[in-house]
Amino acid sequence: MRLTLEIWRQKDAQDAGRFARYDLPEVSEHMSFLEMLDVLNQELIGKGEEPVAFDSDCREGICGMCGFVVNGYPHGPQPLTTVCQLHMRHFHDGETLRLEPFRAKAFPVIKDLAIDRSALDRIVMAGGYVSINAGGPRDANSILVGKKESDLSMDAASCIGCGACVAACPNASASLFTGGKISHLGLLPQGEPERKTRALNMVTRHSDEGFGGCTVIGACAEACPKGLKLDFIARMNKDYLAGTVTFREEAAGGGG
Amino acid sequence: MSVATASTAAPVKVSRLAVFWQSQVGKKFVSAVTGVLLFTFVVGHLLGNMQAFQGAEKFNAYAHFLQNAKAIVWPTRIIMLAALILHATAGIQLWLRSREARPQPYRVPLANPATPSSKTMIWTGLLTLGFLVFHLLDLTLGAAFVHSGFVAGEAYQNLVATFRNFGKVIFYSASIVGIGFHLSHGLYSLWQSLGFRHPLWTPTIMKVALLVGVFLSIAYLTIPAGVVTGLIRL
Repeated sequence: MRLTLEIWRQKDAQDAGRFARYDLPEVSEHMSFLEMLDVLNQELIGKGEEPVAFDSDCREGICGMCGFVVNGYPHGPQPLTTVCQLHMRHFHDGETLRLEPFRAKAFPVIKDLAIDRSALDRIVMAGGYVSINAGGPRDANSILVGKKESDLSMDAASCIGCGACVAACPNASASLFTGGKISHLGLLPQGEPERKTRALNMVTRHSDEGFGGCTVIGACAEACPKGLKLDFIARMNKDYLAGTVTFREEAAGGGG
Repeated sequence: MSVATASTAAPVKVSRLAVFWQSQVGKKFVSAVTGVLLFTFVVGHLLGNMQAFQGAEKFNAYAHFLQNAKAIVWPTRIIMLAALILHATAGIQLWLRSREARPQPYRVPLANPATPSSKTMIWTGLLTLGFLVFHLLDLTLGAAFVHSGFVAGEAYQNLVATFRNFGKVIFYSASIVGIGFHLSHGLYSLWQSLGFRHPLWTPTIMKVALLVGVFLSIAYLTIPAGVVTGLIRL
């Protein structure tokens, strides 16, 4: 099949950037989207031109490294699919595809379609953990977890941190990501003790990183390749609100 | 874990309320609670206004009652004004923050599943704010440059005079539709801001919010329509 690509080319964070047009006369429908870009890049290298920079790692849809916007859809128009798992058979002959990086103040462009998503890592650092005294291995059933809670927690934990929610949100909010991280720990007994401070710290960090707020549009959930739902944002709000009311400063520093 | 300890202390270092107001979740909470207050006013105001269909005597008596019931009216006004200021401030600040969050717009517009009402909250909100100022000048204060024939105490006559002006009918109607749009998203999303979402109830809340928005718009529109069609006349 024949495709025309209009790809956002930007030398570095300071460059203004522009679209460049590439004609691909023979795209195999069995290729993944990223394989198609690999082919294009080989061609560009052969011609002595700069290849298109894009993020990718596992190419199995589980690492969260890849992602850009195809024709206004983060990760492309196929639901529940990362762009590395998106196959060219979903497009038709003669189509023009416009590729842009995920755009947000918190996601500076490194080059072309590659962006810096370390803001998400810093949100996780602010509270996406459980503090456990590591000791000998415990009996597997010593802490009981309800089936529904464990399922819901797993749904939240399926977030791969790709940032498509931010890309899709008209407010460039990472609420779905943050809500997912807060929920997957908060739903389990191991995460319960730190549930409210976790929400306080992660929501605060989320704002500090320059993400926008949630206005319950729902674009994030539509774009999420892992199908996270808006429920996790409600849970984040609930934990945050409860945490604001009940938060106590530590009375004494440890031990005692 | 140095990172953890440092950030655990952060949220309460200043004042709990200030941190809460600074956070986007806090602002949304304030927006939701004040929104509910303002909604009750929209409903109450409609119930009062519907008396226009019962004729001049009844309507003017009601207006007269309100003007003299200072013990009810003033606390209501103060609460509503405070709610309005908080609601508008939170909304505008959140909107500005969202704009800052994406300084570089997409060249190809995002394929968004957003409902028309959710996308236009800031605009329907600002329209409502503008309308409110105009409406107070027009029918409460009777400012001469807005309402030339205003007579204090003659609420019914003032109402009819307003809706005999075609421009005002258009502006009032557009604003009422705007408020309907605003409510149909607000009445749904406030639950999310309060932390409530449920697979059974949320879709129902969404539908009810839309219905309430449409119903209130239509109910309010009957008043200018009543004057235009002659059902409400001097």
